[in-house]
Amino acid sequence: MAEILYTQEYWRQLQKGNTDALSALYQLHYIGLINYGVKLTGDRDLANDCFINVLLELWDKRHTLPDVTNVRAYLITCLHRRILLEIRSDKRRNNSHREILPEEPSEVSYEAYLTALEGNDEFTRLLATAFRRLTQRQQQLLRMKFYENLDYDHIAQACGITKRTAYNIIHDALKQLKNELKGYEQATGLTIPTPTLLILGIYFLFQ
Amino acid sequence: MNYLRFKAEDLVMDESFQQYCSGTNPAAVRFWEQWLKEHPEKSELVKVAKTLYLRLNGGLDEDVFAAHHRQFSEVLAARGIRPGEQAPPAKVRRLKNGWGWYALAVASVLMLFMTTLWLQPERPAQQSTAPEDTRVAYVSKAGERKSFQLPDGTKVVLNASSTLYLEDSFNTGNRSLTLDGEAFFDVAQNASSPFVIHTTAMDITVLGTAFNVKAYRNDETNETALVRGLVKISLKSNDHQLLLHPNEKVIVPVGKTIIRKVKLISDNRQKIPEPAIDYAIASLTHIPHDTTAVELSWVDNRLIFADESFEEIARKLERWYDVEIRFESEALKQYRFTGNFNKENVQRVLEVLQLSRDFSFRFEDNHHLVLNQ
Repeated sequence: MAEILYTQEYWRQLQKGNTDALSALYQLHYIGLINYGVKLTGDRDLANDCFINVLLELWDKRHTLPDVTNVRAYLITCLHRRILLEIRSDKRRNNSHREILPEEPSEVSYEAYLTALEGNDEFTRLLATAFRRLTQRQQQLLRMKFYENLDYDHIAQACGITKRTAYNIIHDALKQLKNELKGYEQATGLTIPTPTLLILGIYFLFQ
Repeated sequence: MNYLRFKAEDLVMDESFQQYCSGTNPAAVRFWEQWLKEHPEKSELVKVAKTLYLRLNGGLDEDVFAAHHRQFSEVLAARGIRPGEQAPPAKVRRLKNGWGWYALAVASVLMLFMTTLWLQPERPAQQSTAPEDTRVAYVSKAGERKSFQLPDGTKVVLNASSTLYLEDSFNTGNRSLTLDGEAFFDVAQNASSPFVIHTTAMDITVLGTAFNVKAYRNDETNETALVRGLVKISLKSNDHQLLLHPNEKVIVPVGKTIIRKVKLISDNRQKIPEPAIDYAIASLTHIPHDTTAVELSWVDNRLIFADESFEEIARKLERWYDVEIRFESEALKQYRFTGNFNKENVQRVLEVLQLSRDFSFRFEDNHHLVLNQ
Protein backbone atom coordinates (compact mmCIF):
# COMPACT_ATOMS: atom_id res chain seq x y z
CA MET A 1 0.00 0.00 0.00
CA ALA A 2 2.81 2.36 0.97
CA GLU A 3 4.57 1.71 -2.29
CA ILE A 4 1.44 2.32 -4.31
CA LEU A 5 1.00 5.61 -2.55
CA TYR A 6 4.54 6.77 -3.30
CA THR A 7 4.39 5.75 -6.89
CA GLN A 8 1.13 7.66 -7.32
CA GLU A 9 2.67 10.70 -5.68
CA TYR A 10 5.56 10.52 -8.15
CA TRP A 11 3.10 10.25 -10.99
CA ARG A 12 1.44 13.45 -9.78
CA GLN A 13 4.85 15.11 -9.53
CA LEU A 14 5.71 13.96 -13.03
CA GLN A 15 2.56 15.57 -14.35
CA LYS A 16 3.70 18.75 -12.65
CA GLY A 17 7.07 18.55 -14.39
CA ASN A 18 9.32 17.51 -11.51
CA THR A 19 12.47 15.93 -12.96
CA ASP A 20 13.20 14.04 -9.74
CA ALA A 21 9.91 12.18 -10.14
CA LEU A 22 11.19 10.82 -13.44
CA SER A 23 14.31 9.42 -11.75
CA ALA A 24 12.25 8.09 -8.85
CA LEU A 25 9.92 6.20 -11.20
CA TYR A 26 12.95 4.75 -12.96
CA GLN A 27 14.48 3.49 -9.70
CA LEU A 28 11.24 2.27 -8.17
CA HIS A 29 10.10 0.27 -11.19
CA TYR A 30 13.51 -0.70 -12.54
CA ILE A 31 13.50 -4.38 -11.53
CA GLY A 32 9.90 -5.14 -12.49
CA LEU A 33 10.11 -3.37 -15.83
CA ILE A 34 13.55 -4.62 -16.89
CA ASN A 35 12.57 -8.21 -16.16
CA TYR A 36 9.35 -7.76 -18.08
CA GLY A 37 11.43 -6.53 -21.02
CA VAL A 38 13.87 -9.42 -20.63
CA LYS A 39 10.96 -11.84 -20.78
CA LEU A 40 9.93 -10.40 -24.15
CA THR A 41 13.31 -9.79 -25.74
CA GLY A 42 15.89 -11.85 -23.85
CA ASP A 43 18.05 -8.75 -23.92
CA ARG A 44 18.54 -6.80 -20.74
CA ASP A 45 20.14 -3.75 -22.35
CA LEU A 46 17.45 -3.52 -24.98
CA ALA A 47 14.88 -3.69 -22.16
CA ASN A 48 16.63 -0.77 -20.46
CA ASP A 49 16.73 1.25 -23.69
CA CYS A 50 13.02 0.73 -24.15
CA PHE A 51 12.22 1.57 -20.50
CA ILE A 52 14.19 4.81 -20.80
CA ASN A 53 12.37 5.66 -24.02
CA VAL A 54 9.04 5.04 -22.34
CA LEU A 55 9.93 7.46 -19.53
CA LEU A 56 11.09 10.08 -22.03
CA GLU A 57 7.83 9.76 -23.92
CA LEU A 58 5.89 10.21 -20.68
CA TRP A 59 8.03 13.26 -19.90
CA ASP A 60 7.23 14.81 -23.27
CA LYS A 61 3.53 14.12 -22.76
CA ARG A 62 3.48 15.07 -19.08
CA HIS A 63 0.97 17.87 -19.48
CA THR A 64 -1.59 15.59 -21.05
CA LEU A 65 -0.98 12.44 -19.01
CA PRO A 66 -4.09 10.85 -17.52
CA ASP A 67 -4.41 10.30 -13.76
CA VAL A 68 -3.45 6.70 -13.22
CA THR A 69 -4.28 4.53 -10.23
CA ASN A 70 -1.98 1.64 -11.14
CA VAL A 71 1.23 3.29 -12.30
CA ARG A 72 3.07 0.01 -12.67
CA ALA A 73 0.45 -1.51 -14.97
CA TYR A 74 0.48 1.66 -17.06
CA LEU A 75 4.26 1.53 -17.40
CA ILE A 76 4.16 -2.17 -18.32
CA THR A 77 1.65 -1.49 -21.09
CA CYS A 78 3.80 1.33 -22.45
CA LEU A 79 6.90 -0.86 -22.33
CA HIS A 80 5.15 -3.73 -24.08
CA ARG A 81 4.06 -1.44 -26.90
CA ARG A 82 7.49 0.12 -27.15
CA ILE A 83 9.25 -3.25 -27.39
CA LEU A 84 6.92 -4.52 -30.11
CA LEU A 85 7.62 -1.34 -32.04
CA GLU A 86 11.36 -1.76 -31.58
CA ILE A 87 11.36 -5.41 -32.67
CA ARG A 88 9.28 -4.71 -35.74
CA SER A 89 11.40 -1.84 -36.96
CA ASP A 90 14.48 -3.97 -36.32
CA LYS A 91 13.05 -6.82 -38.39
CA ARG A 92 12.12 -4.41 -41.13
CA ARG A 93 15.69 -3.18 -41.31
CA ASN A 94 17.20 -6.64 -41.31
CA ASN A 95 14.82 -8.56 -43.59
CA SER A 96 12.99 -6.00 -45.63
CA HIS A 97 11.70 -8.73 -47.90
CA ARG A 98 9.72 -10.43 -45.15
CA GLU A 99 6.17 -9.20 -45.35
CA ILE A 100 4.42 -10.75 -42.40
CA LEU A 101 5.64 -9.88 -38.97
CA PRO A 102 4.70 -11.85 -35.88
CA GLU A 103 2.24 -10.16 -33.56
CA GLU A 104 4.10 -11.21 -30.41
CA PRO A 105 7.83 -11.58 -30.03
CA SER A 106 8.90 -15.17 -29.73
CA GLU A 107 9.95 -16.54 -26.38
CA VAL A 108 11.56 -19.73 -27.64
CA SER A 109 15.12 -18.49 -27.36
CA TYR A 110 14.90 -18.82 -23.58
CA GLU A 111 14.99 -22.58 -23.68
CA ALA A 112 18.30 -22.41 -25.49
CA TYR A 113 19.60 -20.02 -22.87
CA LEU A 114 18.52 -22.35 -20.12
CA THR A 115 20.27 -25.43 -21.44
CA ALA A 116 23.35 -23.44 -22.33
CA LEU A 117 23.56 -22.05 -18.84
CA GLU A 118 22.73 -25.08 -16.83
CA GLY A 119 25.90 -26.91 -17.68
CA ASN A 120 28.01 -23.91 -16.94
CA ASP A 121 28.39 -23.61 -13.21
CA GLU A 122 27.73 -25.81 -10.26
CA PHE A 123 25.86 -23.26 -8.21
CA THR A 124 23.36 -22.50 -10.95
CA ARG A 125 22.66 -26.21 -11.43
CA LEU A 126 22.18 -26.70 -7.71
CA LEU A 127 19.86 -23.74 -7.41
CA ALA A 128 17.87 -24.91 -10.40
CA THR A 129 17.44 -28.34 -8.84
CA ALA A 130 16.43 -26.85 -5.50
CA PHE A 131 14.02 -24.53 -7.24
CA ARG A 132 12.34 -27.40 -9.09
CA ARG A 133 11.65 -29.10 -5.76
CA LEU A 134 9.49 -26.20 -4.60
CA THR A 135 5.74 -26.39 -5.06
CA GLN A 136 4.11 -24.63 -8.00
CA ARG A 137 2.66 -22.06 -5.59
CA GLN A 138 6.04 -21.35 -4.03
CA GLN A 139 7.68 -20.94 -7.43
CA GLN A 140 4.88 -18.65 -8.57
CA LEU A 141 5.08 -16.41 -5.52
CA LEU A 142 8.89 -16.16 -5.65
CA ARG A 143 8.58 -15.08 -9.27
CA MET A 144 5.96 -12.46 -8.47
CA LYS A 145 7.80 -11.09 -5.46
CA PHE A 146 11.40 -11.00 -6.65
CA TYR A 147 11.41 -11.27 -10.44
CA GLU A 148 8.35 -9.15 -11.17
CA ASN A 149 8.94 -7.11 -8.00
CA LEU A 150 5.24 -6.91 -7.11
CA ASP A 151 4.21 -5.82 -3.63
CA TYR A 152 2.29 -8.07 -1.25
CA ASP A 153 -1.02 -6.30 -1.88
CA HIS A 154 -0.85 -7.12 -5.57
CA ILE A 155 0.29 -10.70 -4.98
CA ALA A 156 -2.41 -11.37 -2.42
CA GLN A 157 -5.06 -9.96 -4.73
CA ALA A 158 -3.84 -11.83 -7.80
CA CYS A 159 -3.65 -15.18 -5.98
CA GLY A 160 -6.77 -14.79 -3.88
CA ILE A 161 -4.90 -15.26 -0.62
CA THR A 162 -4.20 -12.98 2.32
CA LYS A 163 -1.02 -10.91 2.50
CA ARG A 164 0.01 -12.90 5.55
CA THR A 165 -0.31 -16.18 3.66
CA ALA A 166 1.65 -14.82 0.70
CA TYR A 167 4.36 -13.66 3.08
CA ASN A 168 4.54 -17.05 4.81
CA ILE A 169 4.70 -19.02 1.57
CA ILE A 170 7.60 -16.88 0.34
CA HIS A 171 9.37 -17.11 3.68
CA ASP A 172 9.12 -20.93 3.73
CA ALA A 173 10.28 -21.19 0.12
CA LEU A 174 13.35 -19.04 0.81
CA LYS A 175 14.20 -21.07 3.88
CA GLN A 176 13.98 -24.27 1.88
CA LEU A 177 16.19 -22.89 -0.92
CA LYS A 178 18.73 -21.68 1.63
CA ASN A 179 18.89 -25.04 3.35
CA GLU A 180 19.32 -26.97 0.11
CA LEU A 181 22.17 -24.69 -0.92
CA LYS A 182 23.89 -24.91 2.44
CA GLY A 183 26.11 -27.85 1.52
CA TYR A 184 27.46 -26.04 -1.51
CA GLU A 185 28.12 -22.93 0.45
CA GLN A 186 30.16 -24.77 3.07
CA ALA A 187 32.07 -26.83 0.55
CA THR A 188 33.15 -24.00 -1.70
CA GLY A 189 32.62 -20.76 0.15
CA LEU A 190 29.80 -19.80 -2.17
CA THR A 191 31.59 -17.67 -4.71
CA ILE A 192 29.07 -15.63 -6.60
CA PRO A 193 29.37 -16.41 -10.28
CA THR A 194 28.71 -13.18 -12.13
CA PRO A 195 25.06 -13.55 -12.85
CA THR A 196 25.55 -13.74 -16.58
CA LEU A 197 21.96 -14.70 -16.93
CA LEU A 198 18.74 -15.08 -15.32
CA ILE A 199 18.39 -18.77 -14.90
CA LEU A 200 15.40 -18.39 -12.64
CA GLY A 201 13.76 -15.86 -14.82
CA ILE A 202 13.74 -18.50 -17.43
CA TYR A 203 12.06 -20.99 -15.16
CA PHE A 204 9.50 -18.41 -14.29
CA LEU A 205 8.61 -18.18 -17.94
CA PHE A 206 7.42 -21.73 -18.05
CA GLN A 207 4.94 -21.38 -15.23
CA MET B 1 14.45 -2.59 13.17
CA ASN B 2 16.65 -5.12 14.90
CA TYR B 3 18.42 -6.80 11.99
CA LEU B 4 20.76 -8.69 14.29
CA ARG B 5 18.26 -11.49 14.73
CA PHE B 6 17.53 -11.80 11.01
CA LYS B 7 18.22 -15.05 9.21
CA ALA B 8 19.14 -15.15 5.52
CA GLU B 9 15.51 -15.58 4.43
CA ASP B 10 14.43 -12.62 6.56
CA LEU B 11 17.05 -10.43 4.94
CA VAL B 12 15.99 -11.51 1.46
CA MET B 13 12.44 -10.43 2.30
CA ASP B 14 13.44 -7.05 3.67
CA GLU B 15 12.75 -4.27 1.20
CA SER B 16 15.70 -2.11 2.13
CA PHE B 17 18.01 -5.13 1.93
CA GLN B 18 16.69 -5.82 -1.57
CA GLN B 19 17.35 -2.22 -2.56
CA TYR B 20 20.87 -2.55 -1.17
CA CYS B 21 21.54 -5.68 -3.26
CA SER B 22 20.18 -4.17 -6.46
CA GLY B 23 21.67 -0.75 -5.72
CA THR B 24 18.38 0.97 -6.61
CA ASN B 25 18.22 3.09 -3.45
CA PRO B 26 21.35 5.00 -2.36
CA ALA B 27 20.01 5.45 1.18
CA ALA B 28 19.56 1.68 1.57
CA VAL B 29 23.03 1.04 0.16
CA ARG B 30 24.56 3.44 2.68
CA PHE B 31 22.59 1.94 5.53
CA TRP B 32 23.62 -1.65 4.83
CA GLU B 33 27.26 -0.80 4.14
CA GLN B 34 27.39 0.98 7.48
CA TRP B 35 25.59 -1.90 9.17
CA LEU B 36 28.09 -4.40 7.76
CA LYS B 37 30.94 -2.25 9.01
CA GLU B 38 29.43 -2.29 12.48
CA HIS B 39 28.68 -6.03 12.39
CA PRO B 40 31.50 -7.68 10.44
CA GLU B 41 30.49 -11.06 11.88
CA LYS B 42 27.37 -10.88 9.70
CA SER B 43 29.22 -10.69 6.39
CA GLU B 44 28.82 -14.40 5.60
CA LEU B 45 25.08 -14.26 6.29
CA VAL B 46 24.70 -11.15 4.15
CA LYS B 47 26.62 -12.84 1.34
CA VAL B 48 24.30 -15.85 1.35
CA ALA B 49 21.20 -13.66 1.40
CA LYS B 50 22.55 -11.37 -1.31
CA THR B 51 23.45 -14.27 -3.61
CA LEU B 52 20.02 -15.78 -3.20
CA TYR B 53 18.19 -12.51 -3.75
CA LEU B 54 20.23 -11.60 -6.83
CA ARG B 55 19.41 -14.94 -8.43
CA LEU B 56 15.73 -14.54 -7.65
CA ASN B 57 15.52 -11.01 -9.05
CA GLY B 58 16.97 -12.12 -12.38
CA GLY B 59 20.57 -11.12 -11.73
CA LEU B 60 19.99 -7.36 -11.53
CA ASP B 61 22.85 -6.46 -9.20
CA GLU B 62 24.33 -3.08 -8.35
CA ASP B 63 26.74 -3.14 -11.31
CA VAL B 64 23.99 -3.83 -13.81
CA PHE B 65 21.84 -1.13 -12.26
CA ALA B 66 24.72 1.36 -12.14
CA ALA B 67 25.46 0.87 -15.85
CA HIS B 68 21.79 1.15 -16.78
CA HIS B 69 21.25 4.13 -14.53
CA ARG B 70 24.26 5.91 -16.00
CA GLN B 71 22.75 5.43 -19.42
CA PHE B 72 19.45 6.81 -18.14
CA SER B 73 21.21 9.88 -16.69
CA GLU B 74 23.11 10.46 -19.92
CA VAL B 75 19.96 10.31 -21.99
CA LEU B 76 18.28 12.77 -19.62
CA ALA B 77 21.29 15.10 -19.75
CA ALA B 78 21.35 14.92 -23.55
CA ARG B 79 17.72 16.02 -23.53
CA GLY B 80 18.48 18.86 -21.15
CA ILE B 81 16.52 17.29 -18.30
CA ARG B 82 18.45 17.91 -15.09
CA PRO B 83 17.63 16.30 -11.75
CA GLY B 84 16.16 18.40 -8.96
CA GLU B 85 14.45 20.77 -11.33
CA GLN B 86 10.96 21.94 -11.96
CA ALA B 87 10.23 22.13 -15.65
CA PRO B 88 8.59 25.34 -16.87
CA PRO B 89 4.82 25.15 -16.96
CA ALA B 90 3.11 23.88 -20.08
CA LYS B 91 2.64 26.33 -22.92
CA VAL B 92 -0.97 25.29 -23.23
CA ARG B 93 -2.58 26.05 -19.88
CA ARG B 94 -5.31 23.53 -19.48
CA LEU B 95 -6.38 24.98 -16.16
CA LYS B 96 -7.75 28.25 -17.54
CA ASN B 97 -11.43 27.46 -17.19
CA GLY B 98 -11.28 26.92 -13.46
CA TRP B 99 -12.27 23.28 -13.55
CA GLY B 100 -8.63 22.24 -13.67
CA TRP B 101 -7.90 23.98 -10.40
CA TYR B 102 -10.93 22.34 -8.95
CA ALA B 103 -9.67 18.94 -10.06
CA LEU B 104 -6.26 19.73 -8.63
CA ALA B 105 -7.79 20.70 -5.31
CA VAL B 106 -9.88 17.54 -5.25
CA ALA B 107 -6.79 15.49 -6.09
CA SER B 108 -4.75 16.98 -3.29
CA VAL B 109 -7.56 16.61 -0.77
CA LEU B 110 -7.95 13.01 -1.94
CA MET B 111 -4.22 12.53 -1.56
CA LEU B 112 -4.35 13.91 1.98
CA PHE B 113 -7.37 11.80 2.76
CA MET B 114 -5.69 8.65 1.47
CA THR B 115 -2.56 9.38 3.46
CA THR B 116 -4.59 9.87 6.60
CA LEU B 117 -6.57 6.76 5.84
CA TRP B 118 -3.41 4.78 5.32
CA LEU B 119 -1.76 6.02 8.46
CA GLN B 120 -4.86 5.62 10.60
CA PRO B 121 -6.54 2.45 9.47
CA GLU B 122 -8.23 1.83 12.82
CA ARG B 123 -9.81 5.22 13.30
CA PRO B 124 -10.58 6.68 9.90
CA ALA B 125 -12.92 9.25 11.42
CA GLN B 126 -10.17 10.95 13.38
CA GLN B 127 -9.00 13.94 11.36
CA SER B 128 -5.65 15.20 12.54
CA THR B 129 -5.16 18.17 10.27
CA ALA B 130 -7.22 21.26 9.76
CA PRO B 131 -9.57 20.90 6.80
CA GLU B 132 -7.89 23.69 4.79
CA ASP B 133 -4.44 22.16 5.27
CA THR B 134 -3.54 20.44 2.00
CA ARG B 135 -0.08 19.31 3.04
CA VAL B 136 0.68 15.60 3.04
CA ALA B 137 0.80 14.46 6.66
CA TYR B 138 2.12 11.31 8.29
CA VAL B 139 0.39 10.72 11.61
CA SER B 140 1.04 8.26 14.42
CA LYS B 141 -1.28 7.73 17.37
CA ALA B 142 -0.27 7.18 20.97
CA GLY B 143 1.18 3.72 21.42
CA GLU B 144 2.14 3.30 17.78
CA ARG B 145 5.12 3.92 15.57
CA LYS B 146 5.46 4.23 11.81
CA SER B 147 8.40 3.77 9.53
CA PHE B 148 8.26 4.86 5.94
CA GLN B 149 10.25 6.44 3.18
CA LEU B 150 9.68 9.94 1.89
CA PRO B 151 9.42 10.49 -1.87
CA ASP B 152 13.09 11.57 -1.99
CA GLY B 153 14.30 8.30 -0.39
CA THR B 154 14.75 9.66 3.14
CA LYS B 155 13.93 7.03 5.76
CA VAL B 156 11.79 8.15 8.67
CA VAL B 157 10.76 6.40 11.86
CA LEU B 158 7.95 8.33 13.50
CA ASN B 159 7.52 7.87 17.25
CA ALA B 160 4.13 7.76 19.00
CA SER B 161 1.73 10.76 18.97
CA SER B 162 3.60 12.56 16.24
CA THR B 163 2.76 14.31 13.00
CA LEU B 164 5.09 15.05 10.12
CA TYR B 165 3.88 17.49 7.46
CA LEU B 166 5.43 17.63 4.01
CA GLU B 167 5.35 21.12 2.57
CA ASP B 168 3.68 21.29 -0.83
CA SER B 169 6.98 22.18 -2.41
CA PHE B 170 8.65 18.99 -1.14
CA ASN B 171 10.51 17.33 -4.00
CA THR B 172 10.34 20.34 -6.24
CA GLY B 173 13.73 21.61 -5.19
CA ASN B 174 12.72 22.44 -1.63
CA ARG B 175 12.71 19.52 0.80
CA SER B 176 10.95 21.20 3.66
CA LEU B 177 8.87 19.61 6.41
CA THR B 178 7.37 20.36 9.81
CA LEU B 179 7.46 18.07 12.81
CA ASP B 180 5.25 17.97 15.88
CA GLY B 181 6.53 15.06 17.96
CA GLU B 182 9.57 12.81 17.63
CA ALA B 183 11.17 11.22 14.59
CA PHE B 184 14.41 9.66 13.45
CA PHE B 185 15.64 10.69 10.00
CA ASP B 186 18.14 9.08 7.67
CA VAL B 187 18.26 11.71 4.99
CA ALA B 188 18.84 10.82 1.34
CA GLN B 189 21.71 12.77 -0.12
CA ASN B 190 20.87 15.41 -2.66
CA ALA B 191 23.29 18.30 -2.59
CA SER B 192 21.19 20.50 -4.84
CA SER B 193 18.23 20.32 -2.49
CA PRO B 194 18.73 21.01 1.22
CA PHE B 195 16.57 19.16 3.72
CA VAL B 196 14.95 21.42 6.32
CA ILE B 197 12.87 20.40 9.34
CA HIS B 198 10.86 23.03 11.18
CA THR B 199 9.93 22.63 14.85
CA THR B 200 8.51 25.02 17.41
CA ALA B 201 11.89 26.14 18.71
CA MET B 202 14.36 25.52 15.89
CA ASP B 203 14.94 24.83 12.22
CA ILE B 204 17.31 22.03 11.27
CA THR B 205 19.15 22.09 7.94
CA VAL B 206 20.74 18.89 6.70
CA LEU B 207 22.83 17.50 3.89
CA GLY B 208 22.60 13.70 4.08
CA THR B 209 22.85 12.46 7.65
CA ALA B 210 21.11 10.50 10.39
CA PHE B 211 19.62 12.15 13.46
CA ASN B 212 16.75 12.22 15.89
CA VAL B 213 14.41 15.17 16.48
CA LYS B 214 12.21 15.39 19.57
CA ALA B 215 9.75 18.24 19.42
CA TYR B 216 6.52 17.39 21.18
CA ARG B 217 4.28 20.38 21.61
CA ASN B 218 3.60 19.55 25.27
CA ASP B 219 7.23 18.99 26.23
CA GLU B 220 9.30 21.74 27.81
CA THR B 221 12.19 21.40 25.40
CA ASN B 222 13.00 20.50 21.79
CA GLU B 223 15.98 18.26 21.13
CA THR B 224 18.02 17.26 18.11
CA ALA B 225 20.48 14.36 18.48
CA LEU B 226 22.96 13.64 15.71
CA VAL B 227 24.25 10.15 14.88
CA ARG B 228 26.37 10.96 11.85
CA GLY B 229 26.88 13.77 9.36
CA LEU B 230 26.51 17.45 10.13
CA VAL B 231 23.44 19.57 10.71
CA LYS B 232 22.90 23.28 11.10
CA ILE B 233 20.49 24.48 13.76
CA SER B 234 18.76 27.86 13.57
CA LEU B 235 17.04 28.94 16.77
CA LYS B 236 13.67 30.55 16.32
CA SER B 237 14.01 32.78 19.38
CA ASN B 238 17.05 34.83 18.34
CA ASP B 239 18.15 33.72 14.86
CA HIS B 240 21.27 32.21 16.39
CA GLN B 241 22.87 29.46 14.31
CA LEU B 242 25.10 26.60 15.37
CA LEU B 243 26.56 23.41 13.93
CA LEU B 244 25.94 20.06 15.55
CA HIS B 245 28.55 17.29 15.36
CA PRO B 246 28.05 13.52 15.60
CA ASN B 247 27.21 12.18 19.05
CA GLU B 248 26.00 15.58 20.23
CA LYS B 249 22.55 16.88 20.91
CA VAL B 250 21.16 20.36 21.27
CA ILE B 251 18.37 21.12 23.72
CA VAL B 252 16.24 24.19 23.18
CA PRO B 253 13.54 25.31 25.60
CA VAL B 254 10.06 25.96 24.29
CA GLY B 255 8.67 29.12 25.85
CA LYS B 256 10.28 30.19 29.09
CA THR B 257 11.69 27.00 30.58
CA ILE B 258 15.19 27.39 31.95
CA ILE B 259 17.63 24.67 31.08
CA ARG B 260 19.15 22.99 34.07
CA LYS B 261 21.42 20.07 34.63
CA VAL B 262 22.96 19.62 31.24
CA LYS B 263 26.31 18.08 30.81
CA LEU B 264 28.59 20.17 28.59
CA ILE B 265 30.80 17.91 26.60
CA SER B 266 33.74 20.08 25.71
CA ASP B 267 35.35 23.18 27.13
CA ASN B 268 36.40 24.68 23.83
CA ARG B 269 32.77 25.15 22.97
CA GLN B 270 32.26 28.61 24.42
CA LYS B 271 29.20 29.51 22.44
CA ILE B 272 26.78 29.02 25.33
CA PRO B 273 25.45 32.49 26.07
CA GLU B 274 25.82 33.23 29.76
CA PRO B 275 22.95 35.39 31.00
CA ALA B 276 19.87 34.00 29.30
CA ILE B 277 20.30 30.34 28.43
CA ASP B 278 18.89 29.84 24.97
CA TYR B 279 20.12 26.36 24.37
CA ALA B 280 22.57 23.75 25.60
CA ILE B 281 24.73 21.23 23.85
CA ALA B 282 25.22 17.85 25.48
CA SER B 283 26.61 14.50 24.48
CA LEU B 284 24.21 11.68 23.77
CA THR B 285 23.33 9.69 26.89
CA HIS B 286 24.59 6.14 27.18
CA ILE B 287 23.62 3.67 29.87
CA PRO B 288 26.04 0.91 30.93
CA HIS B 289 26.22 -2.28 28.85
CA ASP B 290 24.38 -0.73 25.95
CA THR B 291 25.74 0.60 22.67
CA THR B 292 22.64 2.44 21.51
CA ALA B 293 22.27 6.00 22.77
CA VAL B 294 19.24 6.56 24.98
CA GLU B 295 17.98 9.22 22.59
CA LEU B 296 17.68 6.63 19.81
CA SER B 297 16.55 3.58 21.80
CA TRP B 298 12.91 4.06 20.82
CA VAL B 299 13.81 3.27 17.22
CA ASP B 300 14.75 -0.24 18.42
CA ASN B 301 11.45 -0.44 20.28
CA ARG B 302 13.08 -0.07 23.68
CA LEU B 303 11.88 2.23 26.39
CA ILE B 304 14.74 3.73 28.38
CA PHE B 305 14.75 6.25 31.24
CA ALA B 306 18.11 7.74 32.18
CA ASP B 307 17.76 9.52 35.51
CA GLU B 308 14.48 11.15 34.51
CA SER B 309 11.76 12.58 36.71
CA PHE B 310 8.54 10.62 37.13
CA GLU B 311 6.73 13.51 35.47
CA GLU B 312 8.82 13.16 32.31
CA ILE B 313 8.54 9.39 32.45
CA ALA B 314 4.75 9.58 32.75
CA ARG B 315 4.63 11.68 29.59
CA LYS B 316 6.71 9.06 27.77
CA LEU B 317 4.49 6.25 29.05
CA GLU B 318 1.37 8.09 27.90
CA ARG B 319 2.65 8.27 24.34
CA TRP B 320 4.20 4.83 24.33
CA TYR B 321 1.20 2.93 25.69
CA ASP B 322 -1.67 5.22 24.74
CA VAL B 323 -2.76 5.81 28.36
CA GLU B 324 -3.50 8.88 30.44
CA ILE B 325 -1.66 9.16 33.73
CA ARG B 326 -2.78 11.32 36.66
CA PHE B 327 -0.66 12.07 39.72
CA GLU B 328 -2.55 12.26 43.01
CA SER B 329 0.64 13.24 44.77
CA GLU B 330 2.79 16.19 43.65
CA ALA B 331 5.87 14.86 45.45
CA LEU B 332 5.74 11.74 43.33
CA LYS B 333 6.44 13.79 40.20
CA GLN B 334 9.94 14.54 41.46
CA TYR B 335 11.00 10.91 41.92
CA ARG B 336 13.79 9.97 39.55
CA PHE B 337 14.28 6.62 37.81
CA THR B 338 16.67 4.89 35.47
CA GLY B 339 15.44 1.84 33.60
CA ASN B 340 15.59 -0.13 30.38
CA PHE B 341 12.50 -1.93 29.10
CA ASN B 342 12.00 -4.17 26.13
CA LYS B 343 8.45 -5.09 25.12
CA GLU B 344 6.98 -4.99 28.63
CA ASN B 345 3.44 -3.70 29.13
CA VAL B 346 2.75 -0.57 31.15
CA GLN B 347 1.72 -2.49 34.25
CA ARG B 348 4.99 -4.41 34.23
CA VAL B 349 7.00 -1.21 33.76
CA LEU B 350 5.34 0.37 36.79
CA GLU B 351 5.83 -2.79 38.85
CA VAL B 352 9.54 -2.68 38.10
CA LEU B 353 9.73 1.01 39.03
CA GLN B 354 8.04 0.11 42.33
CA LEU B 355 11.02 -2.05 43.20
CA SER B 356 13.20 1.03 43.51
CA ARG B 357 10.78 3.59 45.03
CA ASP B 358 7.58 3.08 46.95
CA PHE B 359 4.40 4.23 45.22
CA SER B 360 1.06 2.79 44.20
CA PHE B 361 -0.88 2.78 40.97
CA ARG B 362 -4.33 1.68 39.83
CA PHE B 363 -6.18 1.49 36.52
CA GLU B 364 -9.43 3.42 36.39
CA ASP B 365 -10.12 1.77 33.05
CA ASN B 366 -8.03 0.57 30.09
CA HIS B 367 -6.77 4.04 29.31
CA HIS B 368 -6.59 5.83 32.65
CA LEU B 369 -3.97 5.32 35.33
CA VAL B 370 -3.68 6.97 38.71
CA LEU B 371 -0.43 7.19 40.67
CA ASN B 372 -0.21 7.81 44.41
CA GLN B 373 2.27 7.52 47.25
